Amino acid sequence: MEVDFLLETWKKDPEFNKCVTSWQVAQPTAGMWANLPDALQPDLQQVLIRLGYAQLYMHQLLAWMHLENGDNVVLSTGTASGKTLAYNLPVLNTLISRPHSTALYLFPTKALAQDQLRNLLTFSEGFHGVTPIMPSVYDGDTPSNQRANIRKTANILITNPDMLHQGILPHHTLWQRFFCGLRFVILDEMHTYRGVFGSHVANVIRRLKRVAAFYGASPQFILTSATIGNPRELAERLIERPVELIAEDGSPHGKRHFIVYNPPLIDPQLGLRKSALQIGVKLASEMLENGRQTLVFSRTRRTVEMILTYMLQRANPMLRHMIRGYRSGYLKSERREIEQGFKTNEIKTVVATSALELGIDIGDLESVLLIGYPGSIANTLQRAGRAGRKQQTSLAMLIASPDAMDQYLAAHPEYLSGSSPENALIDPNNLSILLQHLRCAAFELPFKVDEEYGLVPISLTQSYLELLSQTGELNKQNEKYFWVADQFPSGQVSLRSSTPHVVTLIETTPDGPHTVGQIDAGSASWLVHPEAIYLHEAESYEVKSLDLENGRCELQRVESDFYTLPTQQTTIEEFSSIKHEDLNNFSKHFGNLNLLLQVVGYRKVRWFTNETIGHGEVNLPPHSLETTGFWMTFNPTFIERLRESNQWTADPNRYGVGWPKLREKILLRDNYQCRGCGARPERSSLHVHHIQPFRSFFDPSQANNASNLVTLCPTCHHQAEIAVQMRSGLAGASYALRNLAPLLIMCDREDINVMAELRSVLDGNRPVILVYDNIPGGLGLSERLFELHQSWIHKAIEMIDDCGCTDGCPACVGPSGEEGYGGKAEALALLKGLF
Amino acid sequence: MDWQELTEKLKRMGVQVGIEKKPDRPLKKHRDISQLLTGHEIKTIYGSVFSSLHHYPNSYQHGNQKIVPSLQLTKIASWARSSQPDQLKLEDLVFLDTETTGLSSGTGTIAFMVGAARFIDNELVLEQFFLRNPAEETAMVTALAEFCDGMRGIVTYNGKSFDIPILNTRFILQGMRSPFIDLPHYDLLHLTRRIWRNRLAQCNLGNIEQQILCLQRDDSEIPGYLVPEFYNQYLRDGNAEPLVGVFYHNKVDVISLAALFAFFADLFANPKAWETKEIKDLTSVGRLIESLGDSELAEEIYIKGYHLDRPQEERLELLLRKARLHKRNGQYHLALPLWEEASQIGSLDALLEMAKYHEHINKNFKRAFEICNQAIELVSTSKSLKQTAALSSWQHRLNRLNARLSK
Repeated sequence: MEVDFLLETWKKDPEFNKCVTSWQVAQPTAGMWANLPDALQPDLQQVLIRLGYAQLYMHQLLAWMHLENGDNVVLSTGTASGKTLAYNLPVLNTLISRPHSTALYLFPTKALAQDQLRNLLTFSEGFHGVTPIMPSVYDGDTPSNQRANIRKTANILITNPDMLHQGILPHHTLWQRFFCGLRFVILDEMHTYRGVFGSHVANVIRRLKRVAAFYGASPQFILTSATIGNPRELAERLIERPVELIAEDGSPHGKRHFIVYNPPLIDPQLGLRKSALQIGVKLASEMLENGRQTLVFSRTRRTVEMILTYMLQRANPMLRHMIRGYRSGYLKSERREIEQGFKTNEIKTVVATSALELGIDIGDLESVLLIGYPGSIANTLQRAGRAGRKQQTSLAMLIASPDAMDQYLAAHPEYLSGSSPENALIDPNNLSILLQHLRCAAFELPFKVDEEYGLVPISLTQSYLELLSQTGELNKQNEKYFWVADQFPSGQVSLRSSTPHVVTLIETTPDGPHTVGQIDAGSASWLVHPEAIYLHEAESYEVKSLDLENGRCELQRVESDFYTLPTQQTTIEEFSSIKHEDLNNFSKHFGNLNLLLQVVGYRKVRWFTNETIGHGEVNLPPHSLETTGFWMTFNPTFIERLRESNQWTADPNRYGVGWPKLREKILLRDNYQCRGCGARPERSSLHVHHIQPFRSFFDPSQANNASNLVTLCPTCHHQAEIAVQMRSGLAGASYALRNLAPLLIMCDREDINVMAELRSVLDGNRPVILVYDNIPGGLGLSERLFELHQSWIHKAIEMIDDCGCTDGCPACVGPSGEEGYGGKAEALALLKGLF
Repeated sequence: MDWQELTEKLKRMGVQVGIEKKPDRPLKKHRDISQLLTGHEIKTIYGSVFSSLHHYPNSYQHGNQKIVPSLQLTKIASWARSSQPDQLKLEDLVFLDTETTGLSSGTGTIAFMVGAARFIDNELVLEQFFLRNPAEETAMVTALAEFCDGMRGIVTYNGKSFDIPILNTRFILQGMRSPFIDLPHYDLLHLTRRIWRNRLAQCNLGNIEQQILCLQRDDSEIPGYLVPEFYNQYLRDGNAEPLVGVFYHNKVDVISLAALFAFFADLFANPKAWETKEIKDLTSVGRLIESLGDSELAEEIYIKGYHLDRPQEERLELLLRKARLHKRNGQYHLALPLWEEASQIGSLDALLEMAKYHEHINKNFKRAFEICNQAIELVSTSKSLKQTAALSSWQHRLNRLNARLSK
């Protein structure tokens, strides 16, 4: 009961209370129980009772009934609600009652596969005599001398989508027995199959169904998911069959406290708050001193190390051995030792990155501290769910960082308890991804001319097959397409990137080069431009060189207290509207875009405070992106109204009649040399820039004072302008919209881009806000935002309205500049006019 | 969207689809395979397939080797774990070699040509089943299964890991059971490696033909790596002319299989009869015979090799093998002189055996001590890392002997 005591103390502390924006208490529930189904095999029933499962939760029984009925099922109940048993039960029962049956289990990581194997073995060993349950893990780590035997005997095959794609489907004849008996396919942690990865996985499932059908099998699918906004939709898009959703959680749980804590403002002008990290250290230390166990989650490896250091400094020397870190980079044995120590209560505080997030069993915890929002509600709930897996009182606390999303959630904590608005999206018909998998599928089995591939329109499949015949990879004979190329197509397809062209990330270490991973060639100039700080598994690397031609990027591990944000120039080359709708004061459009992207520089931003501490230039060639986007165009009378009420200052400036002369004077003064980079381009191409924006002055003559003017080359000028543009109302609104997008669509920050254009080709040189998918061909992300525009704009208004800053900060419309010119009021006026 | 629009669209998305501009080929060059090779259509219930048929009398010489064994097959049949090895007849075997659309394993690699040969009525009958297009595969595997009917073994070169898994896959894809499952398999690559790995840099069939069968292929030959490309081109333009070389390549491969099999069968039946001048060959044969459990015969072969006049370093392995055989039988008086001889060539292994013998069997610690010193001297001047690494274990032995001597 000590955690209750501690909570009472906090409750009475006014300093603490002032910062709590939400304190929700879920009352304990007894759970909804059900008896084991009658149709259960007697052997299995005995094993279940022996293992302590004499009764089921209602949702487990419901899953059983649906599966008996031949349905496909997605379970989207809370953490620790026994989802695993819900799918194991029907699988095991079928394997016993129909001896040649098999089941395929797909997990997104190898660690989860090993966890599941241990779990299944406890069932397998529970049988007297020869067990009917033979689970095996088959992945990249499986020794080759065991593989033939697994193919011959396993009736539960545990693997991951990558292995299925490269190691099993292209060799399906070796798995004849397995596929002939295939009755169930399990996709656990389905919410991880979203975006590019999910679109690939959906195609791997299409191929799996195709191969299974060849052997006369048509398996049922069982999927599980963290709480997301669209579990049924995602499941149905992944397997392309109707799916029954089970979301009502029948498992019992103890009293659960969920606290959202927003550190106090220390500078309202700049929106600066007290450090979330220091508060986390303080609270975790209090827990430790009270003898309570706490799991502290932090976003990066670097902050894990900082929290550890601070905690060790604060802690009583007698307690120091009870504090441990946990992240990638630790040895496997070290991790096991920490997990074990945590289970046995010898370790009290573990500070971890996401490395500890998914499914790894660390026993019963009562408290979890999240320092900073993990990026999605699903992840937040998953981490919070590490506490209170049994029925004791538990605590989860989110300490908000100054990031926009953190601040929004601190003001709107209801999103953390109600139903999640996050949509996990995939587009299995993305043209590039489809091409890659049709090649793999054709390798696996010849295509018939009229064969349907998933839900792809048959005419599109036809075009692909014809295209592949033209390249000589397929040969068409007797109404069939045969793979005849000397290639192994799945070896060339990575499920993690949208195109087959990848850049390999290579770390330089004292022991020689080491491959860190691969990324899409298309996003390389954005993610790993020279001098960028690249984060991989919470580890920071500095990019030493990027060779796009040979697909090679060299990294070096660094301890960096900042991250980088690229500055990208986007030119709209072509566009075509697919659908649009005229609304109050504006129109929304969705359509195809052909863009020219060029990364020209980057900003260095300090972790946690988000202040910009420097700029850099990048010299990379532009590349084109054919994608889909959603843009908003504004009614000219609406803009005029804003302008009249002085809420639209983003117009081109009228510098006055003396400007050409003055301009020439400044150029001469600066010796026709760019004062930014020192370049001496053609004289006519040089610009003269107002250091403090022209429009921030009431008196034009003051703005045109020589001390406020400087010569710049076009590149430097562009960068200087971007900083200013950020603060216009249009830019402020798009800044807010961009930061809120992940609340509606689950995606990585890099998957979409939002931009504001003052004079856009999209609307005859009028202002536009554009959001596009940063993935060739698009994945439906901006399309979903097109559909959800109302809720998106509404949230942006809330975010800006609720922000405590005076005139813009990183948590709402972006930081106000040194000149003290913000844009908060303008952004608000613009967005409210749309609503 | 038709395929051209799709191609354009994908290109704009930055996806390379790799359509090459085909040269406009004059149509007159279209030559059908039946115009180029003598062959026949084999009719099956699943349609017909083309096959080029060849006959070779039992007396046929392939290079310097006959294609028919002179002696009994019992020994080689036991090696391949044939049931009832003494019943095996040459007519029970099928010699197989495939030409494929690629080198990767997996379901998308097609065996577009299968050369299969059997001895029938005193001649070797070779059928080269060929897919004029991939849709003929059902007919091909049906005809192949028919040809193989009643076989009791298959002979291949690297077929265990390549040809047979691919053929098994092809049968499964046609919804049939592969006739090759659970059949005794004579993979001659495995035997070739056991005999010649130490002597020949490459154990591919081409090299064995040249070195052992003394065979030269003629100008029709095309190298194996070009085969998939030639077939792919043929599927595109229908011109079979370049495939003549592939048929030749496959045909010689299969006959070589028969010749090499005859060689090995006779070697198994009477290894002493092999007239090789290579001491390494005899060492390998002795090893093989040892592994079959006949150490007496192995010894005879080692003795034969011992008397060959070859450079010292080539003798080393034979000396050690023979000594090992004697040591196993407790005949140290026969082993010792061999170790002595080997140690004079600089063999540390021999010194180790001698040191062990003098320390543990003969209890002559002084002699063992001397040998240790000799070895340490050898090791410390050695450039081989492996030998240098053994230094500490020699030191250890030396110290132990020192202690025993001072007792």
